[in-house]
Amino acid sequence: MNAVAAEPLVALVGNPNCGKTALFNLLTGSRQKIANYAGVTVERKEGRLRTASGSRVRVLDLPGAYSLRPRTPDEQITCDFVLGRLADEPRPDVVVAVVDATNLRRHLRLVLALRRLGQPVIVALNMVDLARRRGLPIDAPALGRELALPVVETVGVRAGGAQSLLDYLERQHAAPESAVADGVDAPARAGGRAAPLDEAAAVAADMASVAADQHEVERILGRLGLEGVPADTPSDRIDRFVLHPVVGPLVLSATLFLVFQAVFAWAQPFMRAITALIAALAGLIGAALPAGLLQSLLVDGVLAGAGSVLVFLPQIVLLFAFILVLEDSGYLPRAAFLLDRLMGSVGLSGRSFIPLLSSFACAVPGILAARTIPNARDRTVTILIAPLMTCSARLPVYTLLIGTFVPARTVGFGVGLQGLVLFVLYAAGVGGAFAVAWVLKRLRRANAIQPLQMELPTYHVPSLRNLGIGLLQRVEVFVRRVGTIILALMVLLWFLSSFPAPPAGYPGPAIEYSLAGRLGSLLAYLFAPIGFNWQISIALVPGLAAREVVVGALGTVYALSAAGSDVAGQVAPLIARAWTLPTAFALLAWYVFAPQCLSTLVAARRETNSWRYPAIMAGYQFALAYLAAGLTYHASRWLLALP
Amino acid sequence: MPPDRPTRPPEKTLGLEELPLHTDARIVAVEARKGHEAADLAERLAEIGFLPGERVRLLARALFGEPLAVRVGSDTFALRRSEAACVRVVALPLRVLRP
Amino acid sequence: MSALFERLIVAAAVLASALYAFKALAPFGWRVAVARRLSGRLPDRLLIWLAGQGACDACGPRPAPAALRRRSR
Repeated sequence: MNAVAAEPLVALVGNPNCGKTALFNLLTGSRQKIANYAGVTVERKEGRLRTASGSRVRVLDLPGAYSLRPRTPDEQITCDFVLGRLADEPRPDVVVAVVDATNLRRHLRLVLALRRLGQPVIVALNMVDLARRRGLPIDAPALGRELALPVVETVGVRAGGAQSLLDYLERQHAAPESAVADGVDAPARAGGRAAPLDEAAAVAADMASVAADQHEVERILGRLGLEGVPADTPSDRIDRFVLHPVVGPLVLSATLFLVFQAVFAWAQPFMRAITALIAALAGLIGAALPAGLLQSLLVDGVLAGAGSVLVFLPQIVLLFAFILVLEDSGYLPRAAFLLDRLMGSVGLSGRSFIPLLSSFACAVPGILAARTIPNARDRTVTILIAPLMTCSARLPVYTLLIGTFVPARTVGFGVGLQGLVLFVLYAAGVGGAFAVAWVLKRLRRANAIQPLQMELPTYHVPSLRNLGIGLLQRVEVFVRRVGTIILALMVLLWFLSSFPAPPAGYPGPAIEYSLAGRLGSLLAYLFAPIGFNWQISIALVPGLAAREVVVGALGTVYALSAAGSDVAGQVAPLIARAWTLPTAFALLAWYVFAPQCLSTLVAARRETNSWRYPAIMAGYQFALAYLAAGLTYHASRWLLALP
Repeated sequence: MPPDRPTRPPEKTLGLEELPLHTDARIVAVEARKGHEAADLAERLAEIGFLPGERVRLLARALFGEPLAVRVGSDTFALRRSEAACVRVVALPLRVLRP
Repeated sequence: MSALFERLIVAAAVLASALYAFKALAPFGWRVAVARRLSGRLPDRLLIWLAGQGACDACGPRPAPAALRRRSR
C-alpha cells in the first residue's frame, strides 16, 4: 500500500450491537457514501474523516460479525474483507475493533481472533459512559496491557466521544513507527504483506477453539476485576413486561396502532402543503408558458410525476423516524420475538417484521430492509410479498374511490362505513401477503426449521443525532432512487399519452388517439370481463409507473385540464356518474394486489440480483389482482342484482 | 461411627428449554441434535456465548412456547425451542454468591 | 417561445428520460451491447455512463473503459 498516494483506510469491525454505527456516524458525520459491494447486495458504508492536522482518512463501517466464521452474507463480507479475500477492496491500514465496554465477556473473543491475523488492530472500548454508570471498573491501559494491543475509550453517542480514537489515528498517520511502541505487531506495518497467516487457526473454527478463546477472555477479565455477571439490569425489568406472553402482544399492538395513527394523522398537514405547493407551481407555469407541448410536459409530465413522489414524503419520513427510534431503542427485536410464531406459521420468521412494516409507507425501502434477513429463502419470500402491504401510494386511489362510491354512513359504535372499508382493504393486503407466503412455504417442500438466534440488545435511549443521520440517509436514498427513475418514466409516459396527437376537432379525449390510448383500448378487451371500461384500461397504462398516477391519468382520460390536487375533486363526480358500483369495487380489489409500481420491481431486481423474482412478483400479483377484481365485480353485481 | 454425611444428589441436566423461568443455571454441554446442520449449530451457539461453564437464565417464553428469551453471560438472545434444546444445563441452587 | 424551440426542448427531455430509463432498467449485457454499437457516434463518457452501474448495479463488474473505447478507435 503506498502510504503517500492513497488515503489511509480504517475499518470498523465488531460484534452486532456494539455501537459501531454510532461511532462511525460520529467519526464521519454526514460525509458518508452508501453503495454495494461488488456482486452482492450487502451495503458498503464508507465515510471520510479529517484529523486535527487536516489529513483525510477513509473509514469503512463493516457489518457486525460474531466471529470470523461467517453465517450470513453480511458476516461473509466482514470476514472476507478482514482476511483480504475481497478482490476489489484494499487491505485496511488499521482495523478498529469496537467492543462494548459493558459486555467484554462476549466482545473480546472477536478481538482475540482479529489479533491473530497479524494486522494493526486498535481496540475502541465503546460505551464507557454506560459502563462507568453501572460501576464497572474500566481501565483501558490495563486492558491494553493484557491484550498487547492499543486500547482507547470512546463514547459513540456523545459529541467528542471519539476524540481519543482520532488522536490515535493522528499519531499513527504521522509516525507509523511509534505503533511498535504501542504494542502493535511490527511486521504487518513494515510496508508489506503480513506474514502468511494460518487462517484456520486465526478464525478459531471449532468448539474447542471457541472455548479456548473464552478461557483467555475470562483470564483477562479476571485480571481486570470484571468477571462478575451483572444482576437484574433495567433492561431485564422492562423485558418482564415487553416479553410477557400476554402483556407483550398488547404493548406491541398499542405501539403499532400509535405509529399508524401518527403517521397518517400527523403527515396530513405536510402533505396538504406539498400538494398546494405543486398546484401553485402548476398554476405559475400555466400562466407563464403558452399552452402547448412544453407546458404540458412540465405540468402533466414533470410536476405530476415529481408530485406523485413528493406528496408521500411526509408519511415516509414519519414512518422511518418511528422505525429508527424503535430500532435504536432496541424494541424492534422484541417485536420480532413476539411475532415470530405468527410469522412462522406462514414460513417466515420474526425478522421479516421490520421490512414488512416499512412496506406500509412504501415497498421500496421495505424491500431494501430485507437485507437484514440472513436466510436467503426467507429474504426472497419477504421481498415477494412486501408490495402487498398496503403502501401509501394506494391511498389516493382508495380515497378517491371510497369517497365517491361508499356512502358516509356509520355502522354502529361510531365506526364509519368508509373507514371500515379502508380497514378491510388494508386487512386484505396483509391477509393476501400471508396467504402467498403460506403457499410459497408449501411449495418449498423443505420443512427445515429456520434458525433464529437473534440478539435482544439492551434498551437504550435513542440518540437524536443518529436518528437524524439515519433518517437523512434513508430519505435521500428513497428520493433519489424513486425520484429519478419515476421522473424519467413519467416523462416517457406523458410522451406516450400525448403522441400521436389527434387532429383538430377530434371528438373524444386526446389521449384516446395516442399510443397509450391505443394500448389501453386493446387492454379494454382484456379487462371487460372484470368490469373495467376503456377509460380505466387506458389510465392503468401510465398507472404502471406508480399507483397514485392512475388518479391523474383518469383525469387525463376524462379530458380534464386541471393539474395536481384539483384532479381528484373534478374526477369524482364524473366517475360517480359513469361507473357502476361493481366496477368501482372491482378497481379497489385490483389495487389491493396489482403491481402498479415499477420502482418496486426495480428494487426487487436490485436486491435479488436477477429479473426472475420481479417477474414472478409481477406475474402472481397481476394474476391475483385479476382474480380479485373479477370475483368482486361479479359478486357485487350478483349481490346488488344488477344486469 | 462417623455421622452419615449427606451425599450430593447426582446433577440432573435439563435442556435449556425445560428450565423454569428466571432460574439460574450453568451450561454443562452444548450438543448438536440430528436434523439441523448439526455441528454448525453447536458452534454457532458457542460463538454467541453458549459455552460449558457459562451461566444462563430463561427470561421469557412467548405464547405457544417459542421463541425463548435467554440470558447468557451479559447478553440476551432469542432462541427456538430446538436450538435451546441443544444446550444442556443444570439448575443452580437459589442462593448464588455473586462476586 | 417559438414552437420549434419548444419541440426541441421537449424532444431533448424525452430522449434524456428514455436514455436514463434504459440505463437504470436494462440488463447489463444489453447496455454494453448498445454502448458498443453506438461507440464512435456518441462521446465516450456518455457511453461509459450508459453501460455503467445503474439501478441494477449489483449485476456485475463495471466494464473497463478501455473495452468500450476499443471499438471506437
